[in-house]
Amino acid sequence: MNQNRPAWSWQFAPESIVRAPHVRGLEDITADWAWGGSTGAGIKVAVIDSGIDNDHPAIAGRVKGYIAFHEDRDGNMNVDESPHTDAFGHGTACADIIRRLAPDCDLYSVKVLGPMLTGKGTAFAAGLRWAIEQGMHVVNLSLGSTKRDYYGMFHELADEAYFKNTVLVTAANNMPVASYPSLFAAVTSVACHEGQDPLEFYYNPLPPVEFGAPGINVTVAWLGGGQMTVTGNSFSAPHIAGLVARILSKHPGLTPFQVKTILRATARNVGGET
Amino acid sequence: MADAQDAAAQIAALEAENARLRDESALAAELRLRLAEAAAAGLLSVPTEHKALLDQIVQAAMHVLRARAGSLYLIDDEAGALVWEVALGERAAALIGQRIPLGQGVAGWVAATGQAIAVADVQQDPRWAQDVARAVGYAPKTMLAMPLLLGDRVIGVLQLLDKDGGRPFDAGDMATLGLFANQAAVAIDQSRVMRSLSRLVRMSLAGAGDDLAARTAALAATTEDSPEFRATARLATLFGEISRGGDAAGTLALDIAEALARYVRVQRRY
Repeated sequence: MNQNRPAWSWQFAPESIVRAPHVRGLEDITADWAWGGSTGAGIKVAVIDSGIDNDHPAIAGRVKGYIAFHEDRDGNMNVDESPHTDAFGHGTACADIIRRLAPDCDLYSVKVLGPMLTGKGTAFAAGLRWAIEQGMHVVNLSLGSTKRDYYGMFHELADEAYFKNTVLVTAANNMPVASYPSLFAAVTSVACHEGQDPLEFYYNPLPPVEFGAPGINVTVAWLGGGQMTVTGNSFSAPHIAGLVARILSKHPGLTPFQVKTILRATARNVGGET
Repeated sequence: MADAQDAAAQIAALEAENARLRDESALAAELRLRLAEAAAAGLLSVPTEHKALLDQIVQAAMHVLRARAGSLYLIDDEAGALVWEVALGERAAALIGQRIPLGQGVAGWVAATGQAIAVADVQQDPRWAQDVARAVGYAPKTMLAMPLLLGDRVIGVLQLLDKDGGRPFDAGDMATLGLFANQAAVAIDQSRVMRSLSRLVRMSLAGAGDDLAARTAALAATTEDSPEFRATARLATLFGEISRGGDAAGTLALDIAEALARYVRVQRRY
C-alpha cells in the first residue's frame, strides 16, 4: 500500500477515499444536468501563472486577454497588457487542461512569474486582484505563496472573490506547508489522484483540501508547441477549473458555494455513482 | 448496517493514516540523523565542509530514491538567480558556481513557485533537457525537482534524475523527497549561519573594525531572531574587544576558547 504521496493527495489514494453520504434533495443533481452538453462558452477563465502560449496548437488562439505583473527592485509594480508568451510552459499546461474540459471558454493569461523571484508574492496578489476586478468567472491558481506576511492580503482577496462570484480554484502545495490562498475556505482547493479520466474527481469530507482530480503522469501542452508528461497538484486544479467553467456556462450566475455543492453532488465517492 | 459499514471504513482510514504517519516519522528520524551528522561536520566551518554537506545531501537523496544523478541549486536573492552548487554526474565540475536566471528552466519554476514537479520525459522539453544534459554529462529521461523550503522561504532547489529501473518518479517519491528537502534546508541554513559566524569570529580576532560591523549587520538581517546567532554574535563581539587589548590578550582568549572547545567535545562523547 503506497501511503507516501504529495501533501494533501494521500486522501485520494484508492484505499483512502472515504465515501460521503448522499444528501437527498440537495444532491439529486446528475453530471448530465450539471455540465452535460456544455463547452464553457461565454465563461472567462483567468490562469494566473507563467503566461499562456496562445500559438500552441492545444490553446488554439483562445487567449482573449493578457496582463503581466512584475515588481522591480525598487518596489514598483510594472503592468504590461501587451501579448506575452509562456516563460516556463506551466501556464500553457494549465490552460490546455482547462480547455480539455471547457474548449470554448475564454482564457485570460495573467503572468506573475517573471525573471526575478523578488516581489513575486505582490505580483501574484496584483494578478489575483486584477482577475477579481475584471469579473472573471473562474480563476485557476496552480501556485501559492508560502510567505506568512501575505496571509492577510490573500485572505481578503479570497473573500472578495467569493462575494463577487469569482470561483478561485487552487492547487494545494505538494509539500505539507501552508500556502496562500490555496487552503482557505472561500476557495475550491484541489490535490491530485492517480486517475487519468479528466472527469474523475472526488470530494474529501476531511478538508482542508476539498477535491481530488488527475495530476499524476498527465501529458500536457508545454513550450514550443510540444508536450510534457508531468506530476503535481498544480495539474489537478485546472481539471476542476475547466469543469467549473462548464457548469457556469450551463447555469450562469451560480455562486461559489452553489458550485461547490454541485461538485460535491457529482463527485465519484458521493452517493450511488462509482 | 450502513452505519456499521461507515464506521468500519472510518476505522480502516484511521489505521491507514496511522501507518502512514509511522512510516513518515521513521523516515524523517533517519533523515534528521543523517543531516544532523552532516550539519555537525559543517560546524567545523571550513568552506569545503559546507560544500561537503551540500554534496552529502544530494548523494543521500539520490541513494534514498535510487536516482542516477542529482543537482542542488541555492538562491542568490541579490542577483535574482539560482547558483548551481552541486551537480553529481560525469561532467559536472564545470557547472559549479554557474548562475541560472530564476525565470527559466525547471529549477527556476520550482524556485519561483515553491511547488515540486515530476517530469516523466525530460527530452520532451529540449530547452530543459539541454541544460540538464550539460549538468550530468548524459541525456536524462526522468526528473523530480523539489523546493528547499526553510520555514516560509524557498532557499533553493533539489533535483534528481533517472530513477533506477527507468520508471518515472511517482507521487510517493515526491512525498519522500519533500520530507528530505525540509531537513536539508534546515541543515544548509545552519551550516551557512555557522560558516558566517566563524568568519565573524576570525575577523573580530583580526580586528577588522568597520567591515566587521557591516558583516554583523548583514548576518543579523539574514538570521533575525535566531538565539544561536545572538549568542555567537555576542561571542564575536567579546573576542573583538579582547583582541583590541593587544596580541597577548587575543592569544589568551584563543587558548581559553580552545580549552573550552576540547571540554565540550569530551562532554559530547558521554
